[in-house]
Amino acid sequence: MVIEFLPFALVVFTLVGAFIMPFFAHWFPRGCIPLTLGVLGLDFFMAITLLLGVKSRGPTGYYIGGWVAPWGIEVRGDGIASIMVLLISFIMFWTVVYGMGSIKKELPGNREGWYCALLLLISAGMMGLVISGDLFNMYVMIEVVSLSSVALVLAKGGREVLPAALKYLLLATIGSGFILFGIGFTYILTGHLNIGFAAAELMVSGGDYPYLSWVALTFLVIGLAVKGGLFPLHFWLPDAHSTAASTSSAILSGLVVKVYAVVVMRLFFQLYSSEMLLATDLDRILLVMSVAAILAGSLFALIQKDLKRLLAYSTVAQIGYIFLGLSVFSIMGLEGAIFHIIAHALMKSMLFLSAGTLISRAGSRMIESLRGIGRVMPYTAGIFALGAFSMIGFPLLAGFISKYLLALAGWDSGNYLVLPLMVLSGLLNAAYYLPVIKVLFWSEVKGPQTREEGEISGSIALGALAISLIILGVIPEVGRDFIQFAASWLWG
Amino acid sequence: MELSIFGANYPYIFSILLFSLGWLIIFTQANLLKKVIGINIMESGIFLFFLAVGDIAGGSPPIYVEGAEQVYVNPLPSALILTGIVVSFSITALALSIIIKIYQSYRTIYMPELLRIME
Repeated sequence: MVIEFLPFALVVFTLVGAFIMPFFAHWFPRGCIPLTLGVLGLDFFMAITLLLGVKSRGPTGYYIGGWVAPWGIEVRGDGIASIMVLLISFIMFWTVVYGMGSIKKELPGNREGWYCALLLLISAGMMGLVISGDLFNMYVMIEVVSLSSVALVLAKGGREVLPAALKYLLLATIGSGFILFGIGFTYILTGHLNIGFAAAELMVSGGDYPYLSWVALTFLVIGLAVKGGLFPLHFWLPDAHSTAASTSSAILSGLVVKVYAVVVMRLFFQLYSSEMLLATDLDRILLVMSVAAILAGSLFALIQKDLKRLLAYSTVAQIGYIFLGLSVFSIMGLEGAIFHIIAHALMKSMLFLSAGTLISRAGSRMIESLRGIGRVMPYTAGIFALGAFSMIGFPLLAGFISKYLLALAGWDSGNYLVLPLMVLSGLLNAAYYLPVIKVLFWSEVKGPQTREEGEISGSIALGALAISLIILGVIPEVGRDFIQFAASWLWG
Repeated sequence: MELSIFGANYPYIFSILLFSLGWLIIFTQANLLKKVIGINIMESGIFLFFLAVGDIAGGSPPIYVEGAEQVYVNPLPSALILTGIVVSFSITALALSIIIKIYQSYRTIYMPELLRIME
């Protein structure tokens, strides 16, 4: 009983936190970050309870307000939803811990309270998106996420973020237009907005309207690919992710682009049946797009001189991995994609946060100005190096496991090119991360000379993320049980 | 294919046209305000589409009248579009406020000029 109610309670609880935050900021400004941490910490414990409960008792559904589907809005507590909710609350919690020191420094004026409200709002939006079992509710949550992520980019202030945020907003609006159109087509086709009922109806009558279902799916996938930054629809991503404050970048790059991939999973495996998908050749198109994303993202990253832009292009490449896992169309590919969502969320937030500390010390985002900073900030730069090694795919780190799973899935399903692609992309990652590490550690110290780490709260947050990355890499079984469960339920 | 298909389904064709016109404007216009107008045209296309989905020829508003045998229009798409309009309104408001900020700090809302200043 309680378990069924938990996913909905999580979202509402976080949303209430977001709405009382501005008042709180007015009367008691010092308490904003502790309150945010409290809300996210409680979310984290609720998410663990949800995951364990779902694992032992099977997926649950809950109808908001007692209105049963097809009319009411269904909230799903299945494997993928609970894993994502756990991941979101975990990353958000440690990002806010990191932000205790940096938010005040990076944001102009006294915007801490509003920023905290935004952080809670975007977590509520992402959680609402992954647990939603209703197409229109998904659309509303997608809008909540995309508007608040534009605001997260804007929060830094200054004139540099404005064009990036506007570009992001325009592209996100086009994306959501496509998604809404796709939902409209699905509604014409099935007469339902609830995913379960729509899927049942598609099973019966979807074959009679092959073109309409193809159009609906194409609109949905285009919209989600724009929002998720899949190459070649990624061009808003590097600007938005590199100009934002470091905590915002960590959230945008680590979590926001992933929740759209989760929506794609739901649409592919829960709404449309696999025969229908294979008949549309969409898997081939996605395969080509994701291979292009992996190669092009890495090649663009090679020529960047700005550290945060380099990390943003690396995100473009990593989104390719996730969609690659979806496009091989097997349960193992799905597992690889989910594992990569988790691993990339951990390592990319770690990279952005540690880069934020290094950049604020050096005073510039250019890689050139970070010369030798690893000698004066060995801990922070070491965390950066750890994240980079995980990206390259060194064994014993989580990045290796997801590459291994994806390569295995490709081999199993007859896409023999996936394995060499993984090796090649690992080499490309090495080609742009290793020079940065060389600049950080093995060059003459330029800029600050005294040995001093960043804020203590920042170091703690980076340490926690690094430890979880290593745990996931050394004993992947802790995560794989849950991921296998989630993937097999999605596969149906 | 018979031409009558187009005649019977003209709201759908118009909505697709409006939608495409909208994002074409967003991509091709250099003036930032025109891009916001493009957003609104695009969203109007979607709204028209949803209203056309819900409409039934000869249907009346879905209000219960005692003893009357009536065909009702599907109210659900209209209700959805109410949410859509609110979303589109907030996107427009956010975009316009960003454009005001851009004008204040760059003194232009013309895209090529803006790119030149940012270099």
